[in-house]
Amino acid sequence: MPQATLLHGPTSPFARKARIAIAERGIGHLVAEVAVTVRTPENEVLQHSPTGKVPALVVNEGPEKGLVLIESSLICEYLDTIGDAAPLLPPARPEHWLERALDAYAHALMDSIAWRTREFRKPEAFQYQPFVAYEYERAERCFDDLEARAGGLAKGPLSHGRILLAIALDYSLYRFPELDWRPARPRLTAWYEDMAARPSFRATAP
Amino acid sequence: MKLFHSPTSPFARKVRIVAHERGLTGQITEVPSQLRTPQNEVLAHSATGKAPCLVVEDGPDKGLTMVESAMVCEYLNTLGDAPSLQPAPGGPAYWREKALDGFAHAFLDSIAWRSREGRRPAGEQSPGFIDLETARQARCFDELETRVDELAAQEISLARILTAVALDFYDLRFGEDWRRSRTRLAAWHAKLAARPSFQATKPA
Repeated sequence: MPQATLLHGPTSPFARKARIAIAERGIGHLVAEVAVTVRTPENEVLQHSPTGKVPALVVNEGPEKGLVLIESSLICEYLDTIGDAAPLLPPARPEHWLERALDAYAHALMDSIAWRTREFRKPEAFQYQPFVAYEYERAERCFDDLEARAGGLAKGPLSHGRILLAIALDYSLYRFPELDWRPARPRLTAWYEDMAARPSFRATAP
Repeated sequence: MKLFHSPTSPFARKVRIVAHERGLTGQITEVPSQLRTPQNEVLAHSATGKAPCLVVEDGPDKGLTMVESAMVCEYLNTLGDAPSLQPAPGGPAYWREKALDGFAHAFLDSIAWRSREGRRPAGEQSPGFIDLETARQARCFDELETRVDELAAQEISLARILTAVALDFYDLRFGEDWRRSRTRLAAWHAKLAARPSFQATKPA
């Protein structure tokens, strides 16, 4: 039995973060990936967690056997402990906290894009325009900010935060192709294209 | 340090309770912020505009700006000399704590989403969305009721603070009916809610 099982939705960006971490750290033989359908009674996550959320990591072996982890940042932290490859979160400060801050920033941006996506899944009458407009502006602000910070992104090593940022940029293009963030942001575009070309990104594209 | 927060945000409350519990309030200036407005004070520090947002103004991490309550709490947990609010990293006890924190976060996210939906104009609230989140919360309440012994096994921790904050926020937004069939959970919650840190951060 694999050491752990990752339950994911094939289009879930937060689950993709965990799947890319698995691929980048080369631990695919230690962690099984199972696709589930969320928001249905058949959702397999419900057998493990009443939250029903993906990604969910179930630990099958070792001292944490039986552990069920929800929330992608915690799952990625746990995945860092599996196998022998270097962790994607630097252990020592100040790099550790700079990376955590970047990961949190990426999480906030990804949340915003995901909320907006979820809003459009509601029947049209229940889509709330002030909410959509606010979240759109938030994402645009972050894209501008990231364009200014693209040099720093390109310099550092691959990390959970960088992975999630690239996923957020990709997810925005996937869900809102008509709102292409790339024009006028050439440095961010170049960084994104490098990230998106990685085999781990290609293998997990929605 | 500056902590930008919305006075009614339960996620910010977790951070403020951690600051109280670890004796850090003297080092933190709390700045109430007008989220989701152009005047939002967070925007000067983070393009996300999200709160809680911690800005570190001196020491080795000077300039660090962090959003997301889980990260901010972990950071505050490394400061000062007070006992840690989580087991040392690595090992089953640490991961059990993290699993509970992740669970509580998902539970509170759901309550916060439903609460936000309920503040929209009546005709623009999605019944399907509300039903889904209400069902998720009912499942989480039931699971917590079965895990009260685990919760009570330790007086306080980051995850326990978040769990109790979630229950408190539910009371505030949706009332206290959940207690009728979850009496053990209600008793556990009452103990935490009576702590000075909870009292000092109670939403007005």
